[in-house]
Amino acid sequence: MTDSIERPTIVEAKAITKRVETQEGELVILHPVDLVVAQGESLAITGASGSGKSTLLGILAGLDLPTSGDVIINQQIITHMDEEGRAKVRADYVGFIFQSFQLLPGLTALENVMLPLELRGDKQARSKAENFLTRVGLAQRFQHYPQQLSGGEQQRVAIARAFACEPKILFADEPTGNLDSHTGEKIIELLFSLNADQGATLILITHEERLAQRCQRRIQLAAGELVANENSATNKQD
Amino acid sequence: MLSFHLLKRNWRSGELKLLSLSIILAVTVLAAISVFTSRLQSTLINESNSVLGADAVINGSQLHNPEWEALAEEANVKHTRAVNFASMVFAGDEMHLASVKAVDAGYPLRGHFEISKQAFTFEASAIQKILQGPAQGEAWVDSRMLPLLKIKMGDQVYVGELPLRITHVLIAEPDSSSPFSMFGARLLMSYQDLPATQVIQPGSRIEYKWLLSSDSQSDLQNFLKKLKPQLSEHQAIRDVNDSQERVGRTLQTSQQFLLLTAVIAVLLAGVAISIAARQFSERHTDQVALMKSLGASAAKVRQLYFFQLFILAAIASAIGLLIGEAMQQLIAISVQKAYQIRLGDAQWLAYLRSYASGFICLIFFALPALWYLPSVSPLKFCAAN
Repeated sequence: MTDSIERPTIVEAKAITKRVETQEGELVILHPVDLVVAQGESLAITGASGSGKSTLLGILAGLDLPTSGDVIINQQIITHMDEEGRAKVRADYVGFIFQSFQLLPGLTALENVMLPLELRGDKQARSKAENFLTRVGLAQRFQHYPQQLSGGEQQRVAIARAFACEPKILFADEPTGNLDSHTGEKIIELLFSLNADQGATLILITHEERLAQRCQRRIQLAAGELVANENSATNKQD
Repeated sequence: MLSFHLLKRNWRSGELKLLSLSIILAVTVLAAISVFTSRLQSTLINESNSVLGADAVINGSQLHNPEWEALAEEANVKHTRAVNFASMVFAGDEMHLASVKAVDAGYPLRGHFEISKQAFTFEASAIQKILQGPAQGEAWVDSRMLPLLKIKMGDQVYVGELPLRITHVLIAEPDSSSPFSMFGARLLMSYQDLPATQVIQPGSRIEYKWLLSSDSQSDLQNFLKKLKPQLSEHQAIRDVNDSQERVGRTLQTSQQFLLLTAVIAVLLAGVAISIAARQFSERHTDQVALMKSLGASAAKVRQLYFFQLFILAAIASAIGLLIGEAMQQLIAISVQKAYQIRLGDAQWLAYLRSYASGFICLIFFALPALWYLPSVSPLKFCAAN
């Protein structure tokens, strides 16, 4: 499947829903959502708190399963796979950037970036990690622990970690959510600059208008429903 | 390899120190006690064969009937005799209530003496094994008698009226148990010298031993069967089985006591392992969630953590074993000095058991806390979760 500009589809959601049982009865987190993301596209998922953005992101990334519907990543139906299969898809295609950075406190910046490469058995883990840390401007911080780094620097390490594996799809959950405006701006620049080099598909959740506007397309969720799916008017992606 | 890297990083961050210290403690205590007990066991087993100095002994406060000697020879049973008593031993102005043993030619029928020219030695090169007792006019004494009487090798001591020259110190002897051994240091002399000491008088408290052995156990048993009805109420037959049984009971009691101590120590270490493992597990929930979101499967996570713990247990158990070995060596040296005995070698099984205890402790005390780690959800970091 391809999109309007003939790029192959990398992520597709077909009528995915998410419902959970609570004491008050069934809670619908996601109503049927259909979504197609083309390879190399950047997509912002926006919406109010509790609108189902993170649930959708978790399902698209194969971290969670929908109650119904299918998710297809690079032509593989991951909703038909077991956890082992989905883990393999994540390892092969997916990178993450989390709102709270999620760096391991016992590891240095370099080791944090090396970790996903080591998990893949990459023999060049150290040199690749050094390269990406240098690219995010932390060449002097290899041996620093997360608690010795500022919030912006920690997010840079997290970005280096996400890009070091050269994922086809990069999921980011509020990547500037824990940063001040100035630092957030720099992180956005860095994220899009690296993404332009790598050509990855970027799917991110954000509350920030300026970040959403940097993406080629944005979708909006409200109470678990897809209420808007539009190309960004001011697409500034390089 | 990644497990090893992760282990190094986790160690550096201090998360594994309590866990490894607990394993080291458990293995150290078990190694010290079980290796020492094993040495004790091997010593007692080795010595039980020569503990009587014969296959059987007629023990009593009366001398055996000399007519029995001819009967023994007819029955193809070898015999010799020994006498135990307590007596003051003099050297100049110094005196000591010694445990004296006088042995006849041919003594011991089983086992051997270990003697040395150097007092207080355990060096194998300085120790001589010998199959017969002192010659007439000579005495072999416990090392501690030399400082007690302020004498040295070659000096004379008096047993009753008889001067004897100290020619060797006695390191080990068969049949070392005697009711008089509690009195003081051992002095071994020739049976032929006994009359000249004039210490044995009517009413003296003496233990006579008539030692018997035979190449044929049936000959010996037949002879003992014939002899039994002729024994007085002051005489009794002791054989190797009695001796081994007694040694076995003593050993079992001491082993049980020591192992109980070890079990308590291991249980305490186990509690520490359990607490440390729970802390480790709580701290690693995020790490596991992150690894899974990065594409590590539950099986991969399990393998990474189990290998880390396996390497940790292997290293900590080895350190525990080394410390335990050093501790048991210290205990053994103290015991050897205090009781003038030489301990045998430990069985390799004792080392293996101690080493394995580190892994067993980890399996029983740490695994329950760590078991759920691989099943941590990678969704942990998603806000909606």
